[in-house]
Amino acid sequence: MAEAIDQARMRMQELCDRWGPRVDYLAIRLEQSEGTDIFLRGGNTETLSEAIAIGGHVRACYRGGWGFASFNDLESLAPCVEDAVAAARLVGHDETLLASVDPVQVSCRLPLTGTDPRQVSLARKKALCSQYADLLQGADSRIATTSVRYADVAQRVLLATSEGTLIDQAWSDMEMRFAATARNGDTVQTGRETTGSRKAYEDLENLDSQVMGAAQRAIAALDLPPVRGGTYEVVIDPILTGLFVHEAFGHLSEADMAYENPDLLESMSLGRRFGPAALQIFDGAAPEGHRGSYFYDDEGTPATTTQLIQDGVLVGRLHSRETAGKLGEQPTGNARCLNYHYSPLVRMTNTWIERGTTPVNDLFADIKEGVYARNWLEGMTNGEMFTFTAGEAWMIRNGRLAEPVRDVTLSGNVFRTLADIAAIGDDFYWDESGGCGKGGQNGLPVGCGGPSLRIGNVVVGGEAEDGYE
Amino acid sequence: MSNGSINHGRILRNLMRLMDVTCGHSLYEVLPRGVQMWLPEQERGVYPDLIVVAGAPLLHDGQADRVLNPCVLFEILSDPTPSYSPEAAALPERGGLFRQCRAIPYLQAYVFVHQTEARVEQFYRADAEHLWGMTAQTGLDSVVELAITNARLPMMDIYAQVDSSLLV
Repeated sequence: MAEAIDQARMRMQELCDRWGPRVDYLAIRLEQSEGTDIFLRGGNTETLSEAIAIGGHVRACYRGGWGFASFNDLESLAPCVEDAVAAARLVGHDETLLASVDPVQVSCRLPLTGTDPRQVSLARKKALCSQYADLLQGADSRIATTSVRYADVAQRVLLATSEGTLIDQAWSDMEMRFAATARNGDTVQTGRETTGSRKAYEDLENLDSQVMGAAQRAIAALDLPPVRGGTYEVVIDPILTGLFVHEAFGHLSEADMAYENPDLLESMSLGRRFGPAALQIFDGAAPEGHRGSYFYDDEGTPATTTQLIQDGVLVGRLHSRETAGKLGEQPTGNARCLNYHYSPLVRMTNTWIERGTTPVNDLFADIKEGVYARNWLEGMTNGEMFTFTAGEAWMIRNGRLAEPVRDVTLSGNVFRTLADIAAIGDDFYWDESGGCGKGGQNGLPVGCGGPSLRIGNVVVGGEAEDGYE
Repeated sequence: MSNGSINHGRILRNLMRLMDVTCGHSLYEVLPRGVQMWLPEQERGVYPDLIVVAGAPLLHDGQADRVLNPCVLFEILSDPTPSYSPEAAALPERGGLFRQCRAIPYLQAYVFVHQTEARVEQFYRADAEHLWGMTAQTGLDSVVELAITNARLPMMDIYAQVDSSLLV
């Protein structure tokens, strides 16, 4: 298959040269991928697959109109170029506004620090899943169900454009998800853990204590009292901070969302203050070694690091070449597609809140009655609104951790919540578990990071116990 | 939860008709209320108003009345319930069925159809496996789009023949 894609490389350039003059911009993206998917429920194997795929897409832009065609047969490459060019010429009646990037010819591979998952046998991966499933199931007799999911993919992407860019980029990505559900009569509680890596298969091994934590949390929660709902001062751990910055704030920073929604564009006016002076928020694929790291995005724009919030004030947003062109800003290298079936969208990469200066223990100081929440089980978002269910939580009483509680949901409006950040911890953690979804392209690897935060005025709800027939 | 009212029946019929037209010749199959959906973690069955299954229905222990793999579920809300508001402190939390069904790995969208107003709220799997996004459509002129099945459901058709005096 590698030969096939290598042979296609020459043809891609020829087609760009031949058809490029008929449109304002032409890009051919060719992709080959090899992946593994394993899913164990209750220790039984439900999915065990290895798949190889090759395909590509063509994007053409003419007077602001886009043509798109995808294919999974290299013989269709030339007809798809014709189709995309014809479609763009049909719909384009305006002006093409793409921020310029310098053409580049390069071959690159994201560096691995350990074993490539392609070199590990399916049997060994399955054995790893079974080992974790046994661990979860054996944790306690009250564990009712467990699930273990493993997925890896090795992708190689060729991108050729009418501007002379030819990028050959490759990476490997891995992810594991664990869940344990404990039941005691009618009380059902779940614990989860997720991890991922773009560096080494070894990152997924030796996770026994982390995996066991999911089962232990599920069991412990069976006997905990639900939190009493109300508005509290809360302290959240770096994983919840990462979730918050990605879900609640990050998506609003994607310029295509703002460009298509004038109200949001106004809300996200550059220069507007969102948080305290100590708040710094970034996104970027340039930092190496995370799930959202790469060298070039799917339009050939080099990866960058974009500061979104500086000293509490909005100073940047995430762009494709088109959104940057239309808004008169610099492209940030955030145009990504899940695979060749889709067109690139503006997506986050690695998103983080910078480490602060408050010692973590001091975040709890002076809180008479509050909540400390760690990790997360599930969440919901709608624009600027969010609700996240904590993975585990404790009450804070008189500045100290007190009794553990369960069913803690944290709700709020992102703008108000950012403004209510009272202190930023001096710790930091990269959560590599992220799979981001947008426009039907779900599961795109991203990294999220941040320190512990103290936030005021958070609506904390306990779960109601209603039934349904 | 169903209260068996005539408007509930009309909305259910309209949804069934719309979804079946959309899904009739695709890999999706639409099953009306009465088919039991099985929640293995809770070892019990529930009865959503409408179940959409992708591909062949998976059956728990091979039992024909225990479907395991819905990809879309519809619930017609009988009583007036608080709607989403940008001013609200939190997103609305609907009945217990949605909470129980969120653990189903096959489920991609859960759709609440209000009965006392022309309003449809769609929760869909967004980021990560356990992160749900929400969109709401209000008014008879809007259209509900289900990303997974490519279905476009005009609100006018969802609420066709529904007693308008009950719609606010």
